[in-house]
Amino acid sequence: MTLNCIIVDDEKTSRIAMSSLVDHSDSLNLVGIAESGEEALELLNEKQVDLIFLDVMMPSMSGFDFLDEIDDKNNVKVILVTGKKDFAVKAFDYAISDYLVKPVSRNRFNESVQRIRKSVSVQSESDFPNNLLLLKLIRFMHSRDISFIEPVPSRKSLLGYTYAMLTDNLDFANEADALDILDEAEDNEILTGKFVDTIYLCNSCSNSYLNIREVCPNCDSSHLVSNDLIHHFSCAYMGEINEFKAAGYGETLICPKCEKKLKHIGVDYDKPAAIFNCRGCGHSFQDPLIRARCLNCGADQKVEHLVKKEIKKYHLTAKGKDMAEGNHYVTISKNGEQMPDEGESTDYFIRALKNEIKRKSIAEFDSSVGMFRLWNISELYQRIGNAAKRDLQKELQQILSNDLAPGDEITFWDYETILMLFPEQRKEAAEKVMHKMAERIKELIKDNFDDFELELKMAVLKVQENNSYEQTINELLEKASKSNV
Amino acid sequence: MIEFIEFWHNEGTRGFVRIFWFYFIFELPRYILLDYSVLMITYIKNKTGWKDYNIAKQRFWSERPFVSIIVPGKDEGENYYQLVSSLKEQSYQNFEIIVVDDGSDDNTPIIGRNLERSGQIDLFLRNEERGGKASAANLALQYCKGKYVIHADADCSFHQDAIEQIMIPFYMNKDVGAVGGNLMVRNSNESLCTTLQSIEYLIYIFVGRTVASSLGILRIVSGAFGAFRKDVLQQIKGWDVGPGLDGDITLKIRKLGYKVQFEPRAVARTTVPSNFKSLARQRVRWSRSLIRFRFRKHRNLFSPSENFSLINFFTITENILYDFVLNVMWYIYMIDIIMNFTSTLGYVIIAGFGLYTVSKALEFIVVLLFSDTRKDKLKYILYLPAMVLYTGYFIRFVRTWAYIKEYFFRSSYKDPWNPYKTSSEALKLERKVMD
Repeated sequence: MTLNCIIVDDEKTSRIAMSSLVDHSDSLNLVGIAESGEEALELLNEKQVDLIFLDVMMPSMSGFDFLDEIDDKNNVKVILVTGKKDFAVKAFDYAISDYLVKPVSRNRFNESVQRIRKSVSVQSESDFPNNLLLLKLIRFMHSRDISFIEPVPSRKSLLGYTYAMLTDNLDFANEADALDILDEAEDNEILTGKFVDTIYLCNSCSNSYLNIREVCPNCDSSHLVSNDLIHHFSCAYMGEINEFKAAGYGETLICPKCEKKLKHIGVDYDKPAAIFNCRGCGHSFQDPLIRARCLNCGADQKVEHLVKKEIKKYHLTAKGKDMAEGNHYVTISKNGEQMPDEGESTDYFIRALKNEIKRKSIAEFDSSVGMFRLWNISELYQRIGNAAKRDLQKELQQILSNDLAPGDEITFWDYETILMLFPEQRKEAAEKVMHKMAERIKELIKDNFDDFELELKMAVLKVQENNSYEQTINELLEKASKSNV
Repeated sequence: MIEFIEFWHNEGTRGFVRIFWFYFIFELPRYILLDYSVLMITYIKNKTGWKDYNIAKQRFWSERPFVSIIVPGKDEGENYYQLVSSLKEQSYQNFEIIVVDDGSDDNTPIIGRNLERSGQIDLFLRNEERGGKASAANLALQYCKGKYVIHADADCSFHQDAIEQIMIPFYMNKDVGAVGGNLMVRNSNESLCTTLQSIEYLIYIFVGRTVASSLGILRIVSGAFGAFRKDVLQQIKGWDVGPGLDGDITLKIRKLGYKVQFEPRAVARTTVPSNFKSLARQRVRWSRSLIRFRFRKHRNLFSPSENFSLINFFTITENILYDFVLNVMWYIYMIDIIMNFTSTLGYVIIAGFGLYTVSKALEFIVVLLFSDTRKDKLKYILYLPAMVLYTGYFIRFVRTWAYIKEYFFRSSYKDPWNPYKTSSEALKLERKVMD
């Protein structure tokens, strides 16, 4: 795990010295250099920053003034870098993470960074319960020298398979998280998986205990009976076997049309097809729907909408062993209910929009901001379930990103609303791009859900310096709800 | 040229009639005089019958009967979309579409299932084993929910009011058991062959069946577009093994005492063979059914029995006379001409060509008089001389060939149109009927 850091120092030589130290560290990623407290505040607004190397004595705003300005909730670590030792006590009051005296030695620097990393790691472990579970799992595997964990079939488990040390620590309702954790661990090369089985899960509660059956395409009833169809060659009559039995006696088949006795299959008659009759509504058909009723939550869904997952057995990799020993750390996020971009991009989008509004007051140019509202998509979400809903959003974001220019921004504002920022693009140009996107959205929905018609609404606005970002978004929401694509 | 005029001057009217006796005895009365008198009757009827038609139309719309459209066929998947689209456009919408795939071995099942799932057709039935067109239609009949059943071919598309129009005759007369729709050629501009068929369809289907229908001797409800009362179909238990099952079922309905009518206003368009070779093959198949059904299967129409009716007897007699007996007679006529006018054969042929062209023109004038839109049909006048060769020779020879094959070799029982299993069983059954 690398930390994003910035350097704040008014002296050029110190800046160069610090950035060379940062560059040589594997665990740091330099995202900006500021020459003053004011500049640093701006950087903090724009970038995701984990760690600040902060000079104390600066002309207009001192390091402590700067610390007064920044929000506590930013949760950023600060290392003070100064020529004097006198500030140590004051620094203690500010609860800063470490204190380096110039000139900074490489050893002292690395030691300090290592300490910060550990504290961040511990924090992440508790921030994300899934991290903790993974850590428990791999520590368990490593300490007991278990080379792989296998999925064990179980009727009582939500997934139908349990993983030792992992499923046991999850509530029944959350057991499916185990698969997310294992997937991410595999992506991060902590574990390697080997295919064991494929499972299908309920799309709303991830349960694998499903009742799959044929239902009537007309009324969804599963009260069906299937009958063979008989074709009598000589008179071309076709009907269900029951008719032939009714005209005959016992098992003898008599043609209801020409009253001849059927003798020999393939010679004077055959059974070219079968047909279903619905006892619920009387409909007859050959192509029943296949639906799955979840025996946990009761949801009745088309099998096409079930969530398909792979069950694997997992080996601990060298990297995983490293992590179990605490030498290496990987954060995995909790997939759960979060937005596809995990909220971060929404914050980022707001920051970008704010900047654009600010920039507009300084320079003369046109920027645009646009919005799509997937007006009736909640109906579809309801039908396809949570997992598919997230996949759909990911896919939407992906195809829309293809049409964006490098500087443009896109985010899901909520499950039904997509926001886009087009810096230095006139409204007309942005509109043109959005019309193309609208087509893609509709196409994607149509290709995947042919029985659902999406109602799509959109709006485009010029970024204006006297509108706050809230006003801008509200205006877009209002304008979009009146539109129609 | 002078010799030509001299020859005919010498022959005079008497000689002219003597030479073209075949035309004056058989063809002129049947195709020209009859058409014109029926045209007049129809014209008068329409003047007075307009009110009846409107009342029937009102009754139809107030009842709004549920109609089942059944479409049996093999390897027709590529036509389904066009068929469904033209049905979606219909002025009358209270119908279901049942498509039967009779053991296709192309991608028809996939296309059909998709249309069924997306709700564009109501029921798609598939036989894994091919059973022939009759059994496919019978299967569809089993699951029809409508009061009326429309049998349509998958390669047809329909005028916007076709379904409405084909239903109205049922509401004009309660004895009507089946109504034939009017067929027109969709690809008439594709080749000379399709243009000639276009004219042929106008003369023989549009006018020919209108006339036959007025006289009460209509003997065919085309399978491409025909409507039936479901209770009547159920009474006769559906279609029998083909070929030519359209004509067969029409006769069975007539035998039960129901009227069969033709409705020229109900128009379906169909794609016809675009070269003479495939056209010949199609016609051989059609013509053979005459022998099979009229002579072999429906013999009892000729014998006085409880089912005997004069009009049905007349229908069949007319059919056999004009399609079969005259076909044989024409060769006798040819021999007569060749033997007696050997030296002046050229003059006879030229004059004959002229006579038949004039005759075709007279027939075509009836088409124009019957039509609502005449402009688009006027261009066909240029093709009328070619029509003389087309109907006079091409169709005649094809028909003869078909009769010979069927009568002497019973080849329709070996028809690839029907699977071998159904043909051989049907043959056994029919032999029993005849013995």
